[in-house]
Parts: sequence; C-alpha cells; structure tokens
Amino acid sequence: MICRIVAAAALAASLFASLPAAAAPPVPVRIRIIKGARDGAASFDSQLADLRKQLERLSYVRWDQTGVENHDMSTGKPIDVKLPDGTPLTVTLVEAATGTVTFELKVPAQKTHSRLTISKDQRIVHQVTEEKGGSAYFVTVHPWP
Amino acid sequence: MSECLKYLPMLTARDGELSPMERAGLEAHLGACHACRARLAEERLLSGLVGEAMQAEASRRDFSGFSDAVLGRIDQRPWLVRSLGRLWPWGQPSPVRAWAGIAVPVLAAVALVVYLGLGSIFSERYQPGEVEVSSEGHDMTVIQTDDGPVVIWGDLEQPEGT
Repeated sequence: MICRIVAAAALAASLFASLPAAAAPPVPVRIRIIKGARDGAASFDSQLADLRKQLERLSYVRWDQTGVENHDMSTGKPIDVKLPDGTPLTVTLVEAATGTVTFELKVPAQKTHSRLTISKDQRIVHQVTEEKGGSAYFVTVHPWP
Repeated sequence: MSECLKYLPMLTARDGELSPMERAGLEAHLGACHACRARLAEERLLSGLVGEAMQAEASRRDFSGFSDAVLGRIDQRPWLVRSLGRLWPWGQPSPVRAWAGIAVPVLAAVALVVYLGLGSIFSERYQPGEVEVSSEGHDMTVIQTDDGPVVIWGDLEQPEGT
C-alpha cells in the first residue's frame, strides 16, 4: 500500500514538473536570408546593421537582405526555410535555457549540420549555399529580436 | 442489658478504632455476657462469608487476556507514520494521510522550483559559444565574435588588411 502511494506521488511529481516545461513559452526568433557578394561597389543593407561586426569579418563587400521570417519556436520543432535558390534549410530550437539558446541548422542538400549555442544577445550567421559567381547566401538566426 | 447496648457497636469495630479503655471494657463484658459473645461470633462469620464471596466473584472474572488487550492498544505503527499522523489535523492518523503529508510539500517544492525557472538551470546542457559543425562536402570554419558565431564554408576569409 505504502509503495503504491510513494509510486503515485513520484509519478504525480514528474507529471507536474513536466507540465510547465511542456507549456514553456515559445522563443521568438527572426530568421533572415542575406546575400554576400565579393564584386561590385561596397554596400551594406541598413537592415543588417546589427550584424555588421560579424559580417565585416568576411571578404564579401556587398550585403543585402533577401528575406526575413519571424517564428515563435518551440523546443524540438523544426522550421523549414526555403532559400532563394530553392534549397531547403531546417532550423530547430534544441534548447532554450536561462540566458542561452541552442539552435541546429541543417542543409540536407549539402549534408551540413551545425549545432550552435549562443547567449541571449547574440546572433548566428551561417553560410548555407556554395559560392557562385562571387556571391553566396547566408542565414542569420536572432532569438528574442 | 444496658451494658449489651453499650458494647454492641464496639463488636464490629476494627483494630485500632477502640481506645484501650473501651477495649478493656468490651473484653470484660464479653467475658461475662454469653449473648454478646454469640453476636460477635456471628459478626465474624458473616464478615468472613462476605470476603470469600467477593474473592469468589473476582475469581470468576477472566483476566487472562488483560495484558494482551493493554499491549494491543499501544500504537505499533512505524515511527515516521506515527509522528506524521500526529501532525495530521483531521481524524485518526493513517498511513495514506501520513504519506500524503509527505507528498504534498514535495510536490509544492517541485512546482516552485519549476515555476521559478531553476529547473532550466539544472537541465542546461550547452554553454554559450559551444559549436558543433559537420559537413560531408565542405570544410566548415567557425569565427567567434562578441556578437555571435559566423560559420562559413571553406577556409577563414579575412578582409584584406585585417
């Protein structure tokens, strides 16, 4: 009898603990598709101002935003993003902890797979297509934009 | 006869109830009065019969289970159950209520931890800056900056002059 009560209490505790986790608020995420080009006059899309420090590390001189999506992401639920050349990209929120968030980016066509953990105030910049004609596409992931 | 009336109440007196003078007077009277001696003998007989009757009545009662009954009323439940049961404010303590008394505060504590967000601290598996990349067709390079990581395919590309 006592064992049953203890087991029931443990089960209730685990269920009770899992309920708020399941009901955890989704993380708002802004996903932008940007294009970097080596040729032409240097220019920087004003919408990408918050990425300047990161993008300046690369040898592309012309940066343009070609698309933006806003999602409320829940842990473990992937978001499919279509790149301008038709290549599919999958972004998954792996974990959202206190002050940190972990994303997984997959480009199945290129067989690439990345898992990156950033703090709340950081952004991910990730190349997602091969460079063609001096330009390539990148995706940026910005939680809590 | 008036002597008999005087000493009649003294016939049923217990030891120590009479003064030495009264006892001496009673004994002197009994030595001379046959009726009072007969009455005394009758009183003693009656007193003995009552005592025996009471003894017999007591003997008829069965006390063989008395000690077992007393021991049976002693609480033999586990100490924890007994102690928690005493804290339970409603009715007689029981194991169910005792364990419920444990479960309720534990559940409350778990709920508090979860709602305060401490659970996410304990379950945090990844640290900021942790990067894991894999690709079958490309070399992957990760540049860490203050604003976050930059992942590019191929070798690290630096602007000229940096």
